Amino acid sequence: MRRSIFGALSALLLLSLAPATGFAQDESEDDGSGGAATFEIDPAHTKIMARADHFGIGHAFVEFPEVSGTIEYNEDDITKSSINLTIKTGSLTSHQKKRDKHLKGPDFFNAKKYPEITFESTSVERVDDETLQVEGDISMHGNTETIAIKIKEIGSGKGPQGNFRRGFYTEFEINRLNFGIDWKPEAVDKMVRLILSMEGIEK
Amino acid sequence: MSDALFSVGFNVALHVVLLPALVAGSIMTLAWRPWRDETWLNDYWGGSIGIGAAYLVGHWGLGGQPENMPYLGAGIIVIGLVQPLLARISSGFDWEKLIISLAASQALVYAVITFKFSDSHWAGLEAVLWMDVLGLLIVAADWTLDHVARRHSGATIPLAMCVISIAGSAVLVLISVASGSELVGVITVVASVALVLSWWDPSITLAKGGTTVFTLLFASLVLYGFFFSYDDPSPWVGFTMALAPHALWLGEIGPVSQMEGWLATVARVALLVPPLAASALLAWGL
Repeated sequence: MRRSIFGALSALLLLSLAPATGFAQDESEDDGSGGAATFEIDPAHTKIMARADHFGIGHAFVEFPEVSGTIEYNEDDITKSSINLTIKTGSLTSHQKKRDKHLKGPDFFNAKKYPEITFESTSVERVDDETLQVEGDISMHGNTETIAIKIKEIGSGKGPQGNFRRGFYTEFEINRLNFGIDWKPEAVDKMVRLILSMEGIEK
Repeated sequence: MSDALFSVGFNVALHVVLLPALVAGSIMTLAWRPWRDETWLNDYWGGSIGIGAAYLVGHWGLGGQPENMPYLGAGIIVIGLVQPLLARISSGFDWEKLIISLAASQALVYAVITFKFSDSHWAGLEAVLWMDVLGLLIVAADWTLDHVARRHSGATIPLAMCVISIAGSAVLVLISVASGSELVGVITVVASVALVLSWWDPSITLAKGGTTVFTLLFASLVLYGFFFSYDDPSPWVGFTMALAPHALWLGEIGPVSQMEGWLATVARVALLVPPLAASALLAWGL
């Protein structure tokens, strides 16, 4: 009887200490440093895709696996935050070799001439608890356009390796003609939907 | 047929075929006046402006790379117009034409593939050598086409231009530069117009200007496609294409030189097929 009570009390004590020892299942609690922090983009957990209509029949997707950048996140004053991304144009893949060569060539992204796509934010504002309004410049194919997008904060917390992370997601459309990518808009629609899911690791 | 597919086809028909053919036909007909009884060899500007203006119309409708191509095209027309003026005032070997052609070709190479002339690609002596070699290949091709045009008025050179540009268009498709292929297709259409007019009046010629405009436009598009393609084509694709026009000289010797009429024209131009076919097969990956 005493052993069973003692065992139950010990179990209860261990469970109550679990969060402090890092055995907690729930890793989404925000226990970041607060204030301002710099997050480096984690390419392994970041996905950038582009989607466009193909002859009005279906959708064609392209991924950009090589992405780098930083997110300056200021919890106390979100307007002092910023996002900077750099994508290697030549890394794009649609999982079709011949089509990839076409996309990287002069008809579309012209990756040899324009090896990078960049985004630099110019302002960040909070819309609600989970949403940020971000304005910034996209530079691609030798042209720059200012866009305003809504970015959703997915969550934050310590990852499996113990580092603190923040996750973001956004979708928005651009007109590729504005960037000089103007080949056959009848075949591949001029409006391209960009889908970004990003995770940053606090430095 | 979906609306999009129809739209693509209509756009190609309009900007690759109809409008360029209309522009080239109008200008060349006005310049050469093939209905005239007497021969009219002095209006060489018909070839230069006809080919150049028709190309610019096609490029305006299609868009495409290089972005500075319309400006290059306008400059090429000017160079094409300078050729007959120099031919009138100079005698003997065309030193002036050669110097202008060399300078124009090297400037064109630099303008079309500027990004290659940087520290990360070609620098110093390597850059100079590339510019010289590519410029010389262009000048040599123009020189051959011009002198064959002077020897043989009529259909030979327009037909040769058709065959060369068809091959160039095919190569560009094979190395995944479809937009360049369409733009070269415009040149094919324009050469076809000149071919039709040359059947009407065999005395017309594209010498002293027309061949220069053709060569410089064609070279610009092929150079751009070749160096920006992610297919990374073998250099032999470019070399065989650049050397192909010189096969026309084989038509000045042997059995072909003894032929006459349309048979001689077809036989001469057929000499272009082996090197151009080799270029296309290499681009395909064989």
